[in-house]
Amino acid sequence: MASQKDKRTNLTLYGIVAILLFLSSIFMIRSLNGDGFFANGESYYNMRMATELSNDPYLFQDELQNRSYELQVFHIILAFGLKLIGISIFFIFPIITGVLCAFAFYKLLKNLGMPKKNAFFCMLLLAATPPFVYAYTTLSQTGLICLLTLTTLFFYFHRDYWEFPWKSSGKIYFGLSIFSLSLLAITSLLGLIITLIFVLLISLVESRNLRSMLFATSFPAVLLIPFALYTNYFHISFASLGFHSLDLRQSFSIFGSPAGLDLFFVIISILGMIIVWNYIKDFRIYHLVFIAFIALSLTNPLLRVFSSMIMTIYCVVAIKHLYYRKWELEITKTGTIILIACAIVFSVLNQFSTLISAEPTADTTAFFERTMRSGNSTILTDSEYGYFVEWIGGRQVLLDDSSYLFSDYAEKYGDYEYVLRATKIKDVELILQKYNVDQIIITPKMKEELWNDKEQGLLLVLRNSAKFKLRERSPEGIEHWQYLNK
Amino acid sequence: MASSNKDYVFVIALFLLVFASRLMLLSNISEYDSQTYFALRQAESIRETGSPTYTDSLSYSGRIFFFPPLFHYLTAFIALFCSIENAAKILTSISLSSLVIIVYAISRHLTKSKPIAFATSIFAAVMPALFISLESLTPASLSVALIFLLSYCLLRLDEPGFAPAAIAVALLSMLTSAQAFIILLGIVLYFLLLVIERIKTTTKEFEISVFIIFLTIWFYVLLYKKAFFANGIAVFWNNTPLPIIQNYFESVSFFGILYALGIVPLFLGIYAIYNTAFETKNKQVLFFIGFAAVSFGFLWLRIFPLQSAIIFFSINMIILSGHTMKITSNALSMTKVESIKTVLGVIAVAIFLLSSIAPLSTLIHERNALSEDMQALAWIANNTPKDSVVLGSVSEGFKINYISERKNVADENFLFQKHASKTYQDISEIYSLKLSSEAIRLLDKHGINYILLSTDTKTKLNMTRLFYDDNSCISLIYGNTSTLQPVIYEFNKCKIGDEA
Repeated sequence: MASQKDKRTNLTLYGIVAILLFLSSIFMIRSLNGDGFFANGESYYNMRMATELSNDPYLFQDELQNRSYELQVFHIILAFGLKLIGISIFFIFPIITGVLCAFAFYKLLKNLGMPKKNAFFCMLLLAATPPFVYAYTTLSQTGLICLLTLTTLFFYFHRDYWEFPWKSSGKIYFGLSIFSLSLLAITSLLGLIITLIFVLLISLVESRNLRSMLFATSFPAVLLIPFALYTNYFHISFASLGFHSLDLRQSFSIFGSPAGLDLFFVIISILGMIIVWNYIKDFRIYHLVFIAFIALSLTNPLLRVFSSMIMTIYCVVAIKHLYYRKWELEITKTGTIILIACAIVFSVLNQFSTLISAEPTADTTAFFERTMRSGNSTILTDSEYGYFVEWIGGRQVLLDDSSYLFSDYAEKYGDYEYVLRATKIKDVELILQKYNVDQIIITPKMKEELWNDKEQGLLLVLRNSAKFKLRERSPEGIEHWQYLNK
Repeated sequence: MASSNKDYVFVIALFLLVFASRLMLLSNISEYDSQTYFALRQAESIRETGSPTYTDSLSYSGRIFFFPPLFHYLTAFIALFCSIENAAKILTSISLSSLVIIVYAISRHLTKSKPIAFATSIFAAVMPALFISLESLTPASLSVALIFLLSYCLLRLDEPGFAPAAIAVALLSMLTSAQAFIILLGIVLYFLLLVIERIKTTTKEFEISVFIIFLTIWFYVLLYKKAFFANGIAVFWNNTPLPIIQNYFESVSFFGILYALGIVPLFLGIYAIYNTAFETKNKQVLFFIGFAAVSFGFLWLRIFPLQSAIIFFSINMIILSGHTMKITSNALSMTKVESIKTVLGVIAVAIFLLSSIAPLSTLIHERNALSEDMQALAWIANNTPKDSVVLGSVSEGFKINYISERKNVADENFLFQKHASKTYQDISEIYSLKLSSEAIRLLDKHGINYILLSTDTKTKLNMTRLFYDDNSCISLIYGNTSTLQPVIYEFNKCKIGDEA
């Protein structure tokens, strides 16, 4: 019996090592290719702010972008790690949190009564879902939120507490769950709400007393009061909930979204849902809630990670059902199982290649590095590259992806749009001088989406005015223009 | 046994009759619909190189395009014994004529009545929808036959041999055309109807369906992965530009669709749906109701080409009409006027035949001999440099590739093209612009050497010449600008500002 237990422990360990290797391989390959550490986006902002915070623990101003800075738990952890182990924290942190998240998911499912083997498969499948892989191969807050949610749920529903609440171990687990929840509360309001919904749902499914939930919630609620009074917590939380319109290109990985749901996982989980729906009639209302949650997740990247967790459970149900049912035709069984396995492998490889080839590549990084060497004024480029420019060159950009949180956004955005569409040199110069811009970086995406690959708007001005000089054009089509009339 | 053989003789005779008449009608046709030229080119490529041209240097002046190749391989195989065009004619005729046999087999299994099965096979034989697509020698024809053969196999899954046959046919239909997707949704809707009607599925039904669903999705995701990335949800509409989708129903009236469907099967089919939904619970009929609903959905949402969608819908309605005939026959058997059922059957068939003859004769009379457009395309092949880019309307793209053997600017394979709508808009503008400067910019942008203004385009756009053809950058090299005859212009590679 002991050897059986050892075998299972080993299996879990192998699973965790596999997840660790899988997540690190993406970093390793990007690093070997000379690409930027992470895919373009939030990661570069977090690296910059963590670095600044490690230099100045009393940071209240983002000097580079000349705007106020609201302290974030995520940045504090990164800054602490940076002090402790140096720059490697930036890629160690997502991997470690990813592994911990998968493990917490496994432990939670086991605590909730799922057989070990099923929980193990759920963990492995979760690690193969695009939203999970994206969350833990970028330095985003999403990864931390998911980990805190799962640890809260794990500690809250820990068997020791529910079986022996009067014992000290039970109190410790309950205390830890309150601690996780409090940390989550100050990290993300949406994360807190989702966690509370899960706590409520699981408590109802398990017919548990809701008094503990009220007690557990009261502490983070009290903690939030000073935050609400003395910081912009609620303004920032509501402004950065992250909901977007129902755009399948953002919701599904098959349409190119790096953090989208995978089509095959959706199909397999629908099958699992149908199976569970038929067999366990009492839980139908919960399945409906989950369906609603998954539907809502199509409009939010954070919810998609949680949806992936729910879907993996249904997927395991479906796969086990298909594997263990008595098939009349052995060939269809073999075929179906092989197809499902291939679908999962395909999904993983697809995600893998998407992340490895994601911008900024080595060439783009080198191009930006060269660009940043000259001058020290503001740079005008696609707001998507804003964080990257700030990180790699320490240069101010006109707009980045956080600009919308600040009061001057409307004016800046208006000017940004205006200058991109302007066809008169006078209009362009007016804006460039207003923001002290001396360099402009035009990306292929800007050419395609703003100007339909035609010479119009700002591109027309740049190419036809003597006041601008083309410093460099990369083979990928990125153009670096210098404004000469400074 | 003898009676059974006699039935088959009738059905095979009917099949041969349809096959022969299709071939006869096709023998007078030498100009086909646009997609046919793509299919012919692929078959030719297979015959010459052993594989289709996935990397096509002529389409969109060079692109990669993936598609299921079975039809093209079969055409190339038949073309070992005849010309490519005749091979395509034979293959499409066999495929569409075989519907007579397949519909007979399905109806016979559903109704257990030979006369009714025979009546439905007659419906299938003279269904106008099949003759609308006479000049279409494309994979769609083989795909229709295979999909209905698959549905027949699915009906008889519990009998020995049909389960492996279903898998084999599913594989073949997947390799033929992306239209196989329709059966997938048909199966899903069928299961949904079974749940609503509280009818249990058999084990084999569940197993085969799950397998086919996974197989089909997996295959198409793999094949069209890049298209999903590039075109998003528009993949389901072949990434067709919006103006073309909006004109989907423009070329055909409501009565045109009714004619194509056949009024008798339509009404009998609708009654079968009503009867199954509210009175009887027939599992097998539910399958075809699901399939018909999906076909109608595809027709309504313009997912399939109009002709294919109409064929799918009509055949489903024909099969369902067999069920109506059966219940009518059963009802009459319980009355004193039982003998009238044969008369009613004959009347139904007669009405159908009469209602089909009018549209059929119109369709047959509409066929033309080789048009002047084709002569112009052949002229391009003989009188222009090999690597030149020829602008034609989007529907002429494949003809430019196949007949003129020149590069086109765009054709109807919009998949995998990120800027298909923009290219379509540019082409429309080149034909309609009145100012030469913008036209020259667009001609230059697409690297165009020759502009074909075909009779078809002239008629559609109500013009006889380009508005800016007096410009020195453009010279007329073929045809007459005062009539509807096709004309060809040569673009002398000017830049904006060079023009007179």
